[in-house]
Amino acid sequence: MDPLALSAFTVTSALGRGLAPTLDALLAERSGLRQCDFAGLSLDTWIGRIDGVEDEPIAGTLSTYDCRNNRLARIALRQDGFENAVAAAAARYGTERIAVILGTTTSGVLAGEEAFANRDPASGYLPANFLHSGTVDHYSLTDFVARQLGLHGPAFTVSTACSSSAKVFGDAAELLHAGFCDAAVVGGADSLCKMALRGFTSLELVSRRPCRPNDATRDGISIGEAAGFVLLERASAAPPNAIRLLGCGNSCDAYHMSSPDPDGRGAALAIRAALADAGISPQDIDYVHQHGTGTQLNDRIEDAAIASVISTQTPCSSTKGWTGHTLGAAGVTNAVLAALFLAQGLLPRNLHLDQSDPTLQCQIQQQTQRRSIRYVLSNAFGFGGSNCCLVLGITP
Amino acid sequence: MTFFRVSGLGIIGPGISNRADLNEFLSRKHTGAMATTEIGTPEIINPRERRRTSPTVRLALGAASQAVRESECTPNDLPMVFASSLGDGSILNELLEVLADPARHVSPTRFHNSVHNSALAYWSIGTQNRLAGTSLAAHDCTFGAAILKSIAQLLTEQRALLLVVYDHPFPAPLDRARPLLAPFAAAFVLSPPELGNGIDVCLSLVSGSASLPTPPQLECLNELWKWNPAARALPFVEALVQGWRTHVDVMFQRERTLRLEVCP
Repeated sequence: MDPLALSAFTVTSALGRGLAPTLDALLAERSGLRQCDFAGLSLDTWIGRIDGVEDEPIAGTLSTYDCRNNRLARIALRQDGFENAVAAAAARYGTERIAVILGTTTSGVLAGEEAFANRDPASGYLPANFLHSGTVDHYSLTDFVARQLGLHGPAFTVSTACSSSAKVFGDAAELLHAGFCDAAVVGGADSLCKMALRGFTSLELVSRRPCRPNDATRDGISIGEAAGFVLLERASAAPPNAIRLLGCGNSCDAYHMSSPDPDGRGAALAIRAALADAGISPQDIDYVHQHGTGTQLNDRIEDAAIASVISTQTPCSSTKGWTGHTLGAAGVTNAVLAALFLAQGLLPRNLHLDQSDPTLQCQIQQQTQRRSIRYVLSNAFGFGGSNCCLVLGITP
Repeated sequence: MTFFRVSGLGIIGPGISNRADLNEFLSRKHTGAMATTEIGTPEIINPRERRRTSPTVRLALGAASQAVRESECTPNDLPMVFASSLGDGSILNELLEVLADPARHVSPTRFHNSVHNSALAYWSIGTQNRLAGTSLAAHDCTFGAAILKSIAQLLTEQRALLLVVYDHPFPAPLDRARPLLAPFAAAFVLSPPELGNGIDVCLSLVSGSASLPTPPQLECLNELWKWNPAARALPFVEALVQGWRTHVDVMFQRERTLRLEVCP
């Protein structure tokens, strides 16, 4: 692909609001996970909840979009000078020339859960103040962000489970290539809800302890929430030292709705496609930011795919032990953290790795290291066998 | 100005099971009440999976099967763009009913089928297609956004792809919050202009405030076109079926339209 610059980027997760507290938590080795204290749910699990979202409603002209997911998006948009960077790009290109492409799995479904809990006992109707389009609808997030930023370019939501907010990077690259826009706001948001917490519990994919990706005793995910955004422009429009998106690779497992292909063929195809798109070879990758959810099967398959396509010697780690699995926001959370690692020259340790798994072949980071890195592979894999890998880089 | 080619077409809607039905409706200027949408079971779904697939998935896969058959492409040789405003609304409705009661058990199968990309997943599994696939939504502009995404991908990859746009109404009580009237799906095999057979189309983005989107010729489907986001594809499908030189304006964003010029 034609390289694109990450002109601005930000993420808000259980680690904190924006890049500075995120980096602080990573360096201090402070996990954002806590025992489930969400919406009165008595589930024996740990979650990555963002504090204070309940107290920051969306009022005024966009109040019809008020829901936890859009609140989270707005909190994230306000960090790291992101809104200002978009305004500057809008002044350069015009608001019609900036696309908004965002990933989410459950959008504002929590508002739907609340509406169903308050149905009229006689008619079964939902409360009259329930607004589907501003909350539960998948497009609500993208529409809200486009309005909040005052953008009028092509706008859509991608919803391919846990790869949603990784795929949006490739969509932006295509729209730029086709000349349908000159810049794009990409990313996504997913927020805590009963649907995800009780749904993943029913699938027996949730750990009772803080998740332990790549650890021999790993036994499931910790569900988190996050919102992350990236402003992408043609690399020629940005300073030479900007972090770049160099490649995006997609594939389908064509195997099962909720179980990944046990041989990791789909994941390996996506990694190969990302490398080919970036025009680099496997040995160029300095670090793999794994999807690394913390289930036995997912981590084993990702390990096999990395070992077969990249190498068993390339440093790898999962950061889900810090943030939890942020589902539809996992792709952009991983990508923004990868951009932070490139900017900082940081190879983060794999948190909660106490007992290494002798059956895994890859080089899992035991300790955080500081050294300059040039190319990072960032992975996202989702239900329905939906895979997306990104290559990010920096010119040293 | 961007050119592409439509080399396969599928349609399922009220009283319409394929393009021949639509052609027949158009040639006799069909009027009268909207019929019901018959959703069959596409062969692509193997017998073991049939019980598990919802009407929404069968609707999408039925239209997709028609388009691919007409194009004579190999199903697993086409990257996939699936687009739906609601995704699987009946499963969402059912899960929300269950979640309202702390004592009720969430079905793991229902939960994993609730993802927006379930139709894409069942198609990729059924056709053993491991290529790129996506699933997107843009409320009433879902068809316009999906065609833009598909053409951008086509230009980048220089390879034919499958676009499927489908929407099935919610059951009660969500139907009152977002009524869609009736199920509708359309599917297209889209190719770069120099590849494949079919009808050439020119796409252009209209700058500034939107021109009015083109309504369907079949007045009996006008309400469906207004309310069901997938049915926003209907005027374009009508133009392709008739094969006359014409243009169709489609909303791709809440305030903007794109123009599809059909150039047979």
